[in-house]
Amino acid sequence: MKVRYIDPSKCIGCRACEVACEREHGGIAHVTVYIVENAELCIPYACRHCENAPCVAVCPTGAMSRLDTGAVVVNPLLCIGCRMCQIVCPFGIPVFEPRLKVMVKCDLCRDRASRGLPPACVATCPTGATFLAEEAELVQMKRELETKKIVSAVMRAQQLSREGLVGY
Amino acid sequence: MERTKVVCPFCSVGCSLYIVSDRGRYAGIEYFTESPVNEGAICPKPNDLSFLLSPHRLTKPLKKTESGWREISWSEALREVAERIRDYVSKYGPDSIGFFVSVKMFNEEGYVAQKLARLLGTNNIDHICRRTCQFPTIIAGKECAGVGSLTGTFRDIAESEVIVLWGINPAETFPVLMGKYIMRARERGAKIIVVDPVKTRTAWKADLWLPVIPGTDVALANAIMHVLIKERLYREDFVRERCEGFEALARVVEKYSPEYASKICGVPPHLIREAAYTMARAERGSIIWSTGLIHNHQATDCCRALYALAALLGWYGKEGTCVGGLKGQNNVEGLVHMGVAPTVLPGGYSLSDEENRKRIAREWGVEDLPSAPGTNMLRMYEAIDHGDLRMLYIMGANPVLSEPNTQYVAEHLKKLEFLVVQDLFLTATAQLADIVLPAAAWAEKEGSFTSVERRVQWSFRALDPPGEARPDLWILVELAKRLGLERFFPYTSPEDVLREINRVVPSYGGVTPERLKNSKEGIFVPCPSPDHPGTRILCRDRFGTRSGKFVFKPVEYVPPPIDVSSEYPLILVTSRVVGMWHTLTMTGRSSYLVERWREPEALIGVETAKKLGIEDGCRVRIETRRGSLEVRIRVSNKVREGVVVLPWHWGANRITDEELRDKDSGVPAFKRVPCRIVVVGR
Repeated sequence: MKVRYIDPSKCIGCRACEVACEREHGGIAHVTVYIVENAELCIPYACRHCENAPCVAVCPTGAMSRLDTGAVVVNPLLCIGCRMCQIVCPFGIPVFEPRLKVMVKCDLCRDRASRGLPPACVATCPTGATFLAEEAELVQMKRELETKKIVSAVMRAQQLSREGLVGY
Repeated sequence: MERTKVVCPFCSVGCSLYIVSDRGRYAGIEYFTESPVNEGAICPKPNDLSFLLSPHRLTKPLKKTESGWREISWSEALREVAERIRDYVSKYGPDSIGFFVSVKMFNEEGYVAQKLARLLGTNNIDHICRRTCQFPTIIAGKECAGVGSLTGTFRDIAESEVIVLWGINPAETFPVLMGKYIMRARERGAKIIVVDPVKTRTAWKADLWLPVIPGTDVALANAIMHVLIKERLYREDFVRERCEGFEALARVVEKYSPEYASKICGVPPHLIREAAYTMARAERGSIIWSTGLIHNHQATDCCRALYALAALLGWYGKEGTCVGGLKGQNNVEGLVHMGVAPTVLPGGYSLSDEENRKRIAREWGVEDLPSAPGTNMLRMYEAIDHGDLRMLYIMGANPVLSEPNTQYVAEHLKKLEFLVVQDLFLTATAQLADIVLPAAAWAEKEGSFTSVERRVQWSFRALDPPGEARPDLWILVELAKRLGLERFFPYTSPEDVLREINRVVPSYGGVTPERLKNSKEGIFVPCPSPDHPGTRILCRDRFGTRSGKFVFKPVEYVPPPIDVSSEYPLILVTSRVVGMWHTLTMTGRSSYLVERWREPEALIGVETAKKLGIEDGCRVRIETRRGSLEVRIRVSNKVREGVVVLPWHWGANRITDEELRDKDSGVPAFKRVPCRIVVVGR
């Protein structure tokens, strides 16, 4: 199962994900990019689709559920707008939609997923700060990257050692 | 629902996307993951193209009358425009009319526009980018390396070991270039050096940020070259074998020690040295720049200095190197190749090149073409003042808002006897017109665009134009018919025009409609023949200069003739935001963009703000000798002290100055305007 990961260190703050999300969801964006100037970081902020989602656990009507795709979604026909999910969510994700009188949140682009397409935020992201990956893929990727760094560091040390500059 | 591939109409990166349509009507977009340029990714702008459905789109030709705009038929509109053109040409000569073309036109349309102007007997044809952004790069590029385009491609930027981003903020202005190429290079270990008075979001990702004072870039570049030469860090073999004029360069940069230059450019000497050492370590590197380098009094000199810097480093003629200025508009590269310029013919030939001029004339079925240089955009104002230029035909450009000093531009356009404007909307410029022609948007027609990495791509027709809006090509051909020039314009489609371009422009010889329409990756020009693969790297064996060698053009730093003073002590720099484009004609009508980028916000440094009593978020009036503008201001530790940064989309050109220009190219000094700030309130 692919997970949507967000890596703020790659985000350049262009907010394409926000616009893409708003277009896909008819006028509501479920991702917000926070630009933290002092830290020089841009943080795309969206639902984490928790494995043990408190919003699902607390929902009194079963409106909040977890799909096979891993997406935690609201069924608007069952939602009564009690805001319990809002209280328990550690990330402040579900928001009340006053026109529909239900909670709304990121659904990892359920419609697009049914057509075999990645979420709009992932598809549009110019830097790959928002991306889909299998857990194993991500772990592998990170390990390879770090291995390369180790290799080049060791090679540098060996070079210095050959030049008699350090003992190795 | 249907999906059609188009090339994005905003910046020059050349991203592709699908437009989803419902019976010819815009219904959304989808990501075109097979594009090798953007792999599906796009910035916020094309994510909301709902401006295409705006109720304010022009759908009928309009004529200005005493009681306001009157809708007229196409035949009436074209008849009147043709009559006026014929009148002026016969009474005052062909140079009494001028054409001023959008750089958002397809290659085919730009080509036809310049052909029409030249067959009418005038070289009065120019495009807006030439005099507002890219001309200094072309002048300097031709002198030094014999090319006006990027010497490599985006892929070469991604393969660089060092990337120097000088006066360019791709995180804001070219997000896909930033994400897919620069960030990837960085992940692979490339060093990124940013030169900018603002610590931009691009600089947040850089290894080194050089906070230069706007307009002093020559001093900084000379100091870096000084270090390279003094410490013998430059590529001596490359300079010996492939360059000329090194001794003269060495003499000029001699005095620009980092300590000396630092006093001019404001960058600490140790950062100048570190930049030089970082660059010198790389065998392959890229130096790219944009308007941050160019919008000052010494723009062409700045470009000369950076071309020279790259030559000292040997960053030419091989994979992993890319040097040049990034022209911003989606088809400015293409229209330069199409000869949409008052001094250059299709293929880049000078008007004085008799052999090629006559060859093109013969291709067109005439004996010769006008050889006197046309009035460029800059001299246009003078020509209007002197009564030399009486009629102007503006296609898809909005100079009233995009040129310096809005009032000055508007006053001059009003002085014209007859103004025709062709656009999607009734822009500030169109409001001054006598006749307004409703144009189809890019997705409502088809043709080719050439992106800034010289990649030609075909953009297909996805939608029906609203009402009676028509493609520029249709309008130009219909106009030509009414001018009795029908036999020169026997086109029934853009493909017909491109086939003619294949014959006339040698570098497009192999860019055939068939090849282009069947290609997902497009073709890099020069591509002289149908079996040619296209050219990724320029200047591989020889430079395009007469001698075939790189020519060093040493330059001295010169202070601006009109500078900051006690009256106007701050430097105004105009900037851009990622979600808006230029004068807002398109993006200003897409609601998801407007709600995020609603109004300009100026930026000022912490110390400067303290001195002036400015608090974060208060409203201020920015005043220059040309006028004033009220905006909200943010106090930021990311801006050089003494500098005020203001996004220009929302009418900032009301206070920029038409007199402050680069001496060689005439490009406005949008990033070195003396100003002062008055606090208005919370």
